[in-house]
Amino acid sequence: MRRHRGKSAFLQALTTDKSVSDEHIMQLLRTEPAFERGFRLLMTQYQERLYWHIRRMVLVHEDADDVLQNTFIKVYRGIAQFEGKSKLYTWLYRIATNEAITHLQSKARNSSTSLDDASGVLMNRLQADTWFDGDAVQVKLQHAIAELPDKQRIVFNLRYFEEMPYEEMSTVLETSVGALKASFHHATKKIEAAFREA
Amino acid sequence: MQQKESLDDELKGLSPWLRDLKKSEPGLQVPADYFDTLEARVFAQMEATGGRETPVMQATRGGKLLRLLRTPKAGVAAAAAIVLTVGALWFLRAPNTVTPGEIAANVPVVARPELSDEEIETYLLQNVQDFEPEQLASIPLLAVELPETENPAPVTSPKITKKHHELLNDVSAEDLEKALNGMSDEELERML
Repeated sequence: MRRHRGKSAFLQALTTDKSVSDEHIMQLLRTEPAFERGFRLLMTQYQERLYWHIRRMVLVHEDADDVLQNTFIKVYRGIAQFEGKSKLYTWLYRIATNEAITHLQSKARNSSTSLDDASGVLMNRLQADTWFDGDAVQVKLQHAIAELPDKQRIVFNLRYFEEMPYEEMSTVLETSVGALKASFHHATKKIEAAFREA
Repeated sequence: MQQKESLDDELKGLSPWLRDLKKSEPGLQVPADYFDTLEARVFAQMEATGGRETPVMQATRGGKLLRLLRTPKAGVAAAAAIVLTVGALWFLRAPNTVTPGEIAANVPVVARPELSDEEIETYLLQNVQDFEPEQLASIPLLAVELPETENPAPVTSPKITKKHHELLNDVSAEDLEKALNGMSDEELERML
């Protein structure tokens, strides 16, 4: 049975109060007997948010599933190195973003496509995905987004779909607010231009 | 709500069309029980690919620092730092008149007359609490040979143009627009 992911439900997943939970999660992760319980709580807390972040980059559900599982495995095995200098979700987002980019690059290499053709391959996979039923406009939008350079696409997705403030984005992507604003502004102009040309 | 208004305002100025498009469903779907079964699949995958040893997250930075300070090495390093700091301060204030040998004469422990300066300094570091700061400060520092560096690599700064500096400040949408017109994708990617 299909589950249609409404926009409002997705945004609701973003707005739950995380601050108390993060502290509780980290306390559990610091003790061996409670570690697994803490990790399961971390998964429950962040799985949807990370899934959609990854999904908007890789577009296809099956690929998003692979990347998300790899992300959590990396988190589980690497949590000992997390010193708590940044927020927990910032660290999680960074791992998820890097895994998604690695996946996209690997797909492009394995399908023997050039970087220019990579977005075309991505769009073909999206339209063949049984878990996508967007209309023609949405297909065009996703195509235009897929044409953006990787980092610009991440910035656009975080701002446009997840409505992440620039200050928060700056800590996730380790880039200045000014550069992120410039990137988002440039991305919107390119997407508009892509629609006008089509 | 303030956050959404901010994006709305931003898109109103940038691209009203994209702002309107945001209201429609994106078309991406997910299976109904996907998130319910994810946890089990992640642990199964972990076991299949390398086991499930339980790593434990590091303690808070404060706790880690305290544990580190309790080690003997850290204690010696801290004592040496104190000695050198106090010694430097006194050295700058007054000429040194006391030699390690003279200090050694006052040391109330068994000492051989033929002790070297290095041996005395090592002893002092290990028993720094037994001496007055003035005594420690009067010890001349041993000369330390620093390795010579041949042709150290010149420090180069990244090629950031004036245009990039302008963009990196908080500027208005209009100013951004003007600057963006002249920038290519590659330039923007380098900035990121």
